[in-house]
Amino acid sequence: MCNQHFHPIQCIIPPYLSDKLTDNASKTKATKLLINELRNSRFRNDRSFFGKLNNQERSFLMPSAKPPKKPTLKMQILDLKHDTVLSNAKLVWDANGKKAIKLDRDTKNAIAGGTATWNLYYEIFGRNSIDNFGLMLRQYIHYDVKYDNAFWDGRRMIFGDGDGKIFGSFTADLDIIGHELTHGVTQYEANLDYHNQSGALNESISDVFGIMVKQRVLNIDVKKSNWLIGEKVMKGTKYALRNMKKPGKAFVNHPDFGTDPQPATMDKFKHLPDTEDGDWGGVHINSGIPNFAFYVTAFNMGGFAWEKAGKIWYAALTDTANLKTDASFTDFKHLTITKAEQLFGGGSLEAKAVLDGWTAAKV
Amino acid sequence: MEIILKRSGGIISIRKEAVKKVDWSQEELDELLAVVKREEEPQTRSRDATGYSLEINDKVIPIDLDKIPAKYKSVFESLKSKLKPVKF
Repeated sequence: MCNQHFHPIQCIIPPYLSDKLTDNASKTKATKLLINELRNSRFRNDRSFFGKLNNQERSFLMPSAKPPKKPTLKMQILDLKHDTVLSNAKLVWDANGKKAIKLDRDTKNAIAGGTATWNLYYEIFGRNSIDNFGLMLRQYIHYDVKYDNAFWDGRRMIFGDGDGKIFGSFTADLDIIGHELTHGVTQYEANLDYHNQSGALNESISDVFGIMVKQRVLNIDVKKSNWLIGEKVMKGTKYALRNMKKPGKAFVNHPDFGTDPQPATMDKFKHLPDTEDGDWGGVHINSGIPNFAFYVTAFNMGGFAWEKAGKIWYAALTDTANLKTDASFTDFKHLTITKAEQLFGGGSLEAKAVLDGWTAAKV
Repeated sequence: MEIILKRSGGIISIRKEAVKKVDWSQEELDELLAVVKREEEPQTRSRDATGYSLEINDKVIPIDLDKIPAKYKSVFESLKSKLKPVKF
């Protein structure tokens, strides 16, 4: 017991420590030691107190663990009113706040497409938005005047109204919205280089998830789906942007575009210049090959595409350790077969269906 | 001289072109290109985006339409409005 106090409870500092403090004669050091000892003392007392409680008593005192917060969609629709300067866009709809009194058709389409895409990724693949960390989806509509395109700019989606003659609004198809948002997912995952075969894989993955967004909203299985991307945006009932079931048949003898140049099989691979004018080696052309592989795989599995084939493709896309940025079709083939074996078992019908899909595409 | 405005890229990678005859001097042309010329960037994060280029004397030069000087704006606005798809 220390000799300065008459009751043991008053004596926080044991004699050896008091002696040490006196010896050191350092005020700073003494303060630090005191604080440290106070903490230790409290910790010892707490441990002693809680140690005597039964589980029920302990549970009364412990704060209950908060259940993890369920991710929710964060999305905004911004109207460019035919401007091309994104900072000039006006917010017309926010998932958690502002909503214009009267929403135009494109706003409604963008809300529906963005929500359906977010839902597919969350409800089927457990992914929280594009980056898996709840990224706000920002969709810009009415870009430029009669702009006949939609694109992902690395951070957000941008949609044109179409020229009104060949193309209608690019928000018209759920699969196009799913396609553009999936470019964001790919960017945050495998980040496949946007040229040659890896670029065509990048494009194909956007089509694969885009078609699943549409099929899921329409509740149609692999046999009933027409596997068309952009069937509404391209005017004329015979035309679409792409046909995953029959690449090269999305439009035939179109008065303005001629015939869809997509190959379905590797022996018809188009060797194009790796330039902007050459579509970076035909990323939108040769994507027909992996598109066809997915279609055959999903068709042979039956049911809904997102139940099995989609899960295999998603597992491959998010395996960033094994899917390199410059992956070839063959690399992706091997990885999807591996994922099918991991998810459904070696020698499973699902693994065989994936192999058959790539074999049909002659990869 | 004849100039061809080309647009390429996009979600189905269509190509569009519009042709116009202009009476620009070489000096004016050099001045214009110095402002609007851009580098082709395969590694940007944009996907399905469209890009413009200018073909003059069989030479294709990628350009940024947003940087067209006021003096040439009407020519390019006219060309842009007349872009026609090129068949695959």
